[in-house]
Amino acid sequence: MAELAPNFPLITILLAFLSAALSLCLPQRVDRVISIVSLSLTVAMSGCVLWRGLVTGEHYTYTVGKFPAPWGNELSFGILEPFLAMMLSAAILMCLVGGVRTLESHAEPRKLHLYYGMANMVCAGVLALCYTNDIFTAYVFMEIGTLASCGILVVKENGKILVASMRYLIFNLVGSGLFLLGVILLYGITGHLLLPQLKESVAAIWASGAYSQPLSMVVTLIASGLALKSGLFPFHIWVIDAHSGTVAGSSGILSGVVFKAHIILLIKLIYQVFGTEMFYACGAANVLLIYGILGMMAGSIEAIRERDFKRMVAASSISQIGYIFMGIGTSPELGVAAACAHILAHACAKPGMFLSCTRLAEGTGTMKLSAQRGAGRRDPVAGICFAVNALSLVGFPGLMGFVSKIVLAQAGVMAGGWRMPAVLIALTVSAVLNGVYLVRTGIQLFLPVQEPVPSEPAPRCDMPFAISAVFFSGASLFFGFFFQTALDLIQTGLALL
Amino acid sequence: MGGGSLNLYAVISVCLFAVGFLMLLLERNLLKKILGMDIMDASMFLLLCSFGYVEGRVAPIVQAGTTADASYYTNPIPSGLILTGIVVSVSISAVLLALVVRIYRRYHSLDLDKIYLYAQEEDD
Repeated sequence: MAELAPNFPLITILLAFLSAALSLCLPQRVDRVISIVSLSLTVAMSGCVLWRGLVTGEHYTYTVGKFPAPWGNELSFGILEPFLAMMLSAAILMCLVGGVRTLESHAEPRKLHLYYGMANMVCAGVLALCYTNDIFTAYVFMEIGTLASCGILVVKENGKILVASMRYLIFNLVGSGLFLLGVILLYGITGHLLLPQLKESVAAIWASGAYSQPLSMVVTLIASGLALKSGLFPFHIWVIDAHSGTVAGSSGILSGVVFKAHIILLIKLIYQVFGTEMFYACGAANVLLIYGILGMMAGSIEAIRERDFKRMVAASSISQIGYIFMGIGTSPELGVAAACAHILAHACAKPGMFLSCTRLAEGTGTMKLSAQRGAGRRDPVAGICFAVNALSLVGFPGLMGFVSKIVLAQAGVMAGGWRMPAVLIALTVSAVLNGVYLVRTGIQLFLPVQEPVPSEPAPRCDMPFAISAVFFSGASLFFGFFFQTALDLIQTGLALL
Repeated sequence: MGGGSLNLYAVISVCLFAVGFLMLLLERNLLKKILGMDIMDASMFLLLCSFGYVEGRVAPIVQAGTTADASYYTNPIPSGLILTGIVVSVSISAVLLALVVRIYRRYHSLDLDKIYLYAQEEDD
């Protein structure tokens, strides 16, 4: 198995494409089975690659095709890449499983195979962004992921989601344009596209003092392009409509997985191209830190103002993305580790919250937040799933969100200077703001129902949803209790990058 | 390629990029937005193309009877990247146009602000 494992990253990407093609051709219901089997295999193979990385402790470079570096294409992986790829593909799998009833009730049956095809393409894009060692390949797969994301967004056919998809695409294309311009300028300066060669050239050019302004411009273009695609403040205005308007599974995939893939690429580029010294010296980190803090506040305030249950959950993503960028901007080692931990916490919590809030709203017959009183009592599985994951994002002890926030605070203290008070004050204020809307909603779900009694019948048992609810809540709890394991994996993985 | 002409290409590319970028962001008409995106992509391909071209050299196609000496040829990698980029750009334009067709069939308008208002009213 150890000899075979280096082939698995490429196989998982090809498997996602194959599964997408088969989903488009084969009859209904087979498409779902194929997607679930393919995603399960992807999770298992990513697990094998992770295991290999832990056993050997090496960062492996896999040459794709017959041309070696610096001309050919490569994948590279150690511990962090397969770990995040495994968690993100597991999140896509559980979103597809848990969102199947909602999907079938909102989408035309003849279009379901297109949905599964696009979901597999999203998975291929995410996996490629985790594993690629070539910056132009990253751009191509980023675009594949964007187009496929648009496909899973428009599955629910109404005017609002059409407009939201248009805005989603336009903002993502602006982000891709900035990223591509940065990549082209970087190629013009260095003459390379593979990450190791880029890193050598960038380090030499930065040390020589020549091209420092063009290099700073490249960092700005690439970081702002990826930040725009990740919905960082002030580029967040498209997020709420896009994430709240579609079916629960798509919302979970877009918010919990697609956002994260772009941030993982940014972290890879910081470590494998720019180098932490240059990235933190050129001022880009400070900008990310400031916008991260502003995003934390803006997202929470937006969420507090929302009166729609799903829109509130979507708005909270803006705040959580702010946490991740604040971590990246704070410091190279502990700050980025905290950002990775929060990526994990959010990837577990947010899809669970989207799935459960849709299920709770189906029980009450409305998405109005005020009507959700007692909804958790009527549907305890959905209520508990929402409450556990909301508490994780608030930072309740024993859950993954608590761990990432503690590490963020530690990173802030270690960073010293103006970053320490900025990070600590931001964390405190944001925790209070998060508590205002998430804890309030969590409590409201379990309050006794007052007259009039809701007219909707009690929700019927939904086993696929229950499986994904247990997975997402269990993952938040598991990483909350065994946080040292997760942190060790992240920190060892970052050291290998 | 001489430094002067490379700068000329870079300046033209940046101007075109700015035009496309602003059209994509600020235009209210959806078709103009898509045109803006295409101009933005074309500007980047022009810039990339100019990096690969070396004045006085020929396309890297080795013919019978000629030596396979790299110093005679231009850099083929940017051309390959541009071809990939064009495929991506065309796919994006196709998806955007498909969305525009569906939006126009529903609202009979291409003005994004009006469409946004119609969509809000439809929901209310």
